[in-house]
Amino acid sequence: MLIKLAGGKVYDPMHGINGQIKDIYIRDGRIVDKPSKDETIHETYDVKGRVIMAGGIDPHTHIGGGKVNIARMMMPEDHEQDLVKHTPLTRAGCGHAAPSTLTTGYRYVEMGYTSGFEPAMLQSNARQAHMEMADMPILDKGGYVMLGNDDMFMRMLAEGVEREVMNNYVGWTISNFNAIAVKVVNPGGISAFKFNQRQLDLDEKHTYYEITPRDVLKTLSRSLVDLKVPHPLHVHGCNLGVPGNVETTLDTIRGMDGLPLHLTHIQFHSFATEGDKHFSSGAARIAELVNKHKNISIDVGQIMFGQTVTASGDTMRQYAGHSHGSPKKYVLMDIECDNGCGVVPFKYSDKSFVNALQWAIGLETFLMVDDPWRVFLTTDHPNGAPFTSYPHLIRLLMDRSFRNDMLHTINKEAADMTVLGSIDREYSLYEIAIMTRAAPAKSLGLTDRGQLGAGSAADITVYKEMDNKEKMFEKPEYVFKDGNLVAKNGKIVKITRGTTHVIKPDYDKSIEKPLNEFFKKYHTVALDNLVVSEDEIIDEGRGSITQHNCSREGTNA
Amino acid sequence: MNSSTKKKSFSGIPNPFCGTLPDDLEITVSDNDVKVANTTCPITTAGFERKLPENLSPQIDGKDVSLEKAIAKATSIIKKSGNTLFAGLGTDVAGNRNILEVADKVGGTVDHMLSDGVMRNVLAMSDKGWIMTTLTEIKNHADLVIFVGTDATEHSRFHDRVLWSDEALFVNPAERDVVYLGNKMDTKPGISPKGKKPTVIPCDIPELPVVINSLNALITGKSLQAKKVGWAKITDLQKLADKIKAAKYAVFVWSPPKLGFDNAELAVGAISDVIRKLTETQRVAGFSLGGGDGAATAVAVCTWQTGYPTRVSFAKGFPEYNPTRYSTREMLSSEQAEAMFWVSTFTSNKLPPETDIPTVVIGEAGMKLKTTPDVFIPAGTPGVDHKGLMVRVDNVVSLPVKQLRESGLPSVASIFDKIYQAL
Repeated sequence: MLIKLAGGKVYDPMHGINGQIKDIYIRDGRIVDKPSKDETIHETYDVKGRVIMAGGIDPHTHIGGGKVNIARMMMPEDHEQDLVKHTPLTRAGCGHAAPSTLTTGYRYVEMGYTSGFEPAMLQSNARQAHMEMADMPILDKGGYVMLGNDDMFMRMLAEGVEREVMNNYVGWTISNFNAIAVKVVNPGGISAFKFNQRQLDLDEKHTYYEITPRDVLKTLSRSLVDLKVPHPLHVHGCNLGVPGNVETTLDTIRGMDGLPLHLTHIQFHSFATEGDKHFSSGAARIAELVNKHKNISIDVGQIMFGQTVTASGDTMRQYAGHSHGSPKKYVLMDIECDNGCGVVPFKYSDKSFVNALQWAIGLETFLMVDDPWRVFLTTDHPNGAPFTSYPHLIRLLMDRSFRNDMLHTINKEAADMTVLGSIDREYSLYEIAIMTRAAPAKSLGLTDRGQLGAGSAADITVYKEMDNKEKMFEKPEYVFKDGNLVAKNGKIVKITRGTTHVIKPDYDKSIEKPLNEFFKKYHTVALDNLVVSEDEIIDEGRGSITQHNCSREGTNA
Repeated sequence: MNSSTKKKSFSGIPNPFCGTLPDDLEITVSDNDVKVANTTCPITTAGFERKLPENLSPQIDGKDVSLEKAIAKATSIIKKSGNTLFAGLGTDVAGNRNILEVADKVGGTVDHMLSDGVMRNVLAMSDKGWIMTTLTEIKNHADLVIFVGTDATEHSRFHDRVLWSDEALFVNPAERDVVYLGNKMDTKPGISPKGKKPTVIPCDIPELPVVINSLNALITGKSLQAKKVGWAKITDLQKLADKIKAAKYAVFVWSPPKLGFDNAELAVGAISDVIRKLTETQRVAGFSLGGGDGAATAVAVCTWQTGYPTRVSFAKGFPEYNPTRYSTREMLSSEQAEAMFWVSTFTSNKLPPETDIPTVVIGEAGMKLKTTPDVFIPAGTPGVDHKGLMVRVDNVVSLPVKQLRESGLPSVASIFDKIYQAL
């Protein structure tokens, strides 16, 4: 089967293609070079004047796993406003802040996204995260396994095990939970909260293990470099949401001695303390430092106004922030001497000084970081806003006049405190293609995604070019997944099954002996039963595994 | 197949009959007879060691038929029914996935056999949230465990694997303080291996909400005029309040099925209020026991696929949740359901409720039904007859349960897949 997309304006930053008119050919799910003249083209799509990009890749979206399911269970009233009927092709479900698994898959694909990565997969909950992601049709997925609060890691670090032993543990974890990256949340802080510590700054000691978040960050980042894991350590830093936390974030960037880090949802970590309300934007300082430090990449975690629910591993900070939540309810869990989770509903209001400034801080960050290869477009779904708000966010970035109109509607004091109105920058389609496709693919080591070169998976989105970028990105005209036309004008037309992207670092299996002993003594599940086998994910053909090279060549940082 | 007659030994086997899914069973199988070497739990023994009945044939009106015929008949019952109730849901993740797919397609309603208890938790949680912990945390952190309204004797593995574990990271398990709040309880399992006795505070279980609220008042430093509340002495509650405040990591344990009184979600809410109050200054958490017969699994899968924890109707094309109206009891008594599928593959005695509407039972092969259903399809038990995935009672950990014997019984998932294809 040979398909031709004829005459589109192609945006493929991985190959430096910036809106050139180009035909794209698809054979058996892959993009191929122009075939010879005597080959039969089975299907041609006239996409003249249309904008063509690779399928979108969301590198940080809470789509599956225990805390998301807690959010679903806790928010029946939120589902009510967005109940989704079944069709002859698609299943029923619910949408909005905590969408059901099937609806998550449909909505991403309808919006032109073809991959989403769950960034907070606990060892103890990895099986469920994979099971939930398996129930997301069409979409490719993957998980970042969480380390840096589990008692196994904390003990090893406190005991000062050799670097190679730690590397083996990190490598073992990535491999055995079928992850593609490692995330740390409030390094050591989730563990500290179990000992009733209520804050843990970058150089503050965990009262039991007597190690600091800085130790945790450096150790994990170095292990990932040693193991050649493409994606840098994915960091949800200390002091989330605390006014003044910009200093911690700046210290974190400066103090890594060049080790690569990805700082996630940095908006929540960019708060300064100027002004009468002791709350102000630290975005300019963050952006300045990020611009200088090529070892750092970020995603923003933009907030949007409206109801959502925040779901995080950061029990310490979620507990501290719960009083600002709405409606007034929250779930907190300590989990398996592994990690934790906190789920707090939030209603971000454009009339609230703090929320309005958060909105501005996020946008300032997007607009002041120069290199779109190092800033990814996220709302930290659903923590800043549901992922369905991406088209609106893209318009805010691409359309200065629209952005300034919105700025006039928010809390006046916040509007007065942001430099947003003075920023002229408008993102180009090319830059949007970088931050929503090429850059996350490159960062994660997905060498055959996020681009339109021959040999790549034919995950392709075709947009009608419009002045209103929100409308343009809301409902692409065509979405192809592995060469199949899966959505047309924002409606699913075919159901396929996505794959699970993984990497498998080399590690020495000798680590399994101490791990087995530790689990036998202190855990309530045996190691053999805790790990997630590839067979479970493949599940007799319901899923598949796509293993990428464990190599840092060609990664961003 | 020869392998079924040869004696085989397994170790580290997860137990699908227990909501805490303990995975340390030593099992031997010869000639399809399963023996568990290392359990004293009667539910576990009964589950694993029940014999395969001679007749494994599906039946229509009590007469043996082929699986194909049984599925065709079951399908025709769905087609004729305006609203089919899929109840019981005693199966694994794959079974629940496929039941939901059928229910969604035909506009049916889903409810688990233990949802009455589950809803006591869910209603409290979706009202104000809660602060919870998991088994491994209790094992390693808890210095005080307070059983509320339950002696947890049916969860013997909670005692030997968690409460009185040999080792723990941050506490000496044998030194743990144990308190019981309730009545008619067997508190012997609360005696530590070193002989340390638990504190018992007798109280009237239906009065638990007011007893717990009184405890909350005492914790916040209020003095109460009453000498007793719900049988419990205020002086005892004051001592308990002091004990909790002195603890490093106290855990309140309850079991929703044991809270069998009206509006029992208020008891769960009251416990959660106490925990929230204490968390302002110290670490305290809750833990809910239960989750057997695949309850935790059914609730987890239904929640991730629909947003709701069972008691969901697809009659309008979208998932509609109503924790009372879509209960099995209400669906039958109000005659909303026009046909019922009862799925129960774990404990043998979980029989379908009596009803006159057409009934399809997909159940454990040796199930002793009181009335002959329209269709009976013997199905495999996950973790015995076929492998599967199950969610543990804390809704965090899930485990792969194993195939131990070659019964040839179809899985619930495969039966519902065939029904879906036939629709």
